[in-house]
Amino acid sequence: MKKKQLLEQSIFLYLYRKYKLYLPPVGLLLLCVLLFFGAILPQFRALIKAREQAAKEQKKLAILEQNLQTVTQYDNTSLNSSYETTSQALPVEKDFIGVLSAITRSANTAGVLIGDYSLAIGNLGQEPAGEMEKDSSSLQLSLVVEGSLAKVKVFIAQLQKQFPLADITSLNGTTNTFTVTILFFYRPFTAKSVDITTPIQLLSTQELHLIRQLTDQQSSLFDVPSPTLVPSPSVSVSPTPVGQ
Amino acid sequence: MKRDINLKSPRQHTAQEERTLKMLYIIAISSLVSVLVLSIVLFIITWQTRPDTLLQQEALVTQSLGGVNDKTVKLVFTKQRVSYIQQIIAQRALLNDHITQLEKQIPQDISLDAVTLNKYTLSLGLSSSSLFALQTFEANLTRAVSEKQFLRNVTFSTFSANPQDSSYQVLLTAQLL
Repeated sequence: MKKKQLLEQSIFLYLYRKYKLYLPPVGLLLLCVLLFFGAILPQFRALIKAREQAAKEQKKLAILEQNLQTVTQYDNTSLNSSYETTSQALPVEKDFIGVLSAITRSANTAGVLIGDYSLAIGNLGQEPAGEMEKDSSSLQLSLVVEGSLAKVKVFIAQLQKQFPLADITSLNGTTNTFTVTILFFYRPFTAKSVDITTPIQLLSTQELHLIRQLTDQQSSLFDVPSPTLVPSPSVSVSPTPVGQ
Repeated sequence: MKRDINLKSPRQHTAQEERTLKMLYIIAISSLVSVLVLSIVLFIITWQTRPDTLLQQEALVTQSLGGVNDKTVKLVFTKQRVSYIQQIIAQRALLNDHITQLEKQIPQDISLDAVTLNKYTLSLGLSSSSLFALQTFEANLTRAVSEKQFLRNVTFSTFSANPQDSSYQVLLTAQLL
């Protein structure tokens, strides 16, 4: 047993003496491998991440600059006018006064008499809950119209030119008395803030054309401009914190 | 026991071994230097890639946008509102157009007693003392359906005669296009 141990020791000593000069370079090479996996690779990953972040920030900056350019190039008066027109066409809340005015104006133009009417008001002071409700924010009104079918037709045509925007969904009646069901649309502000890190688009030609049409429609409706209140959106620009 | 059984001492190296050893040293040191240089280079590049300048620029632009906050919000909401208005206008029922089309189909001798009209269906109650007028009306409706003017189909549900006032009554329903 002792002999065997002595033999093993001697073999080990022999190998050590023979190869001990190789140990430092081999050790260095092992160190290099360790450094490569322990330091170089993480650094490389950090570099890729930093480049990705820089690209992201570059993109974000480009969007912000584009948004700034888009917003500043708009004429204040024109934008205010467009905003007011669209807000009157599609109010942010149930506009009872606007609805009654629209009905009265249309009835006067068509020469029909307005009888009983009923309003389906819905929830007061509550935001529409579901997405479907949000999409179909409207005030339903049923009213009795007295007049010939030809006059009722004019009444309907007039109502469709009025603000707030309306959709006449049904007509039901006999010779001179008709029940008309109308939906008056409104649209609450759904977003609580404007994300300026997403591109703000310019109003397209088509959209500008629609606004112009609405403005013409509005000016033809009101000979004397009525003091309608358009609530300013109480929404703030909340940018994503810089660097995120 | 005799320990130095090998004739050659382990401390003596051949020329070949010397060369290998030298090569190994060169490789090891150059690897170490390469790793260190690479590490420093990567560190410098990473440092230079930091988006500090971009963040500063972003902060400036964001500040400028804050100055036109009201305008930004108005622009965004106007755009949204226009989009909703376009949807509403596109989806509105055109009842007055349907009425106009319907009026064109009804001869003068026929009186319209009852109408029920919505976006999709039309129900009519008509009366006339002239069978010829009713026939003309039926022919007009048939043509309107075949030419796909505004009707998809028409169903005459009732046809009755009232001997007291010598008139005929027609009830019909139609699907609108």
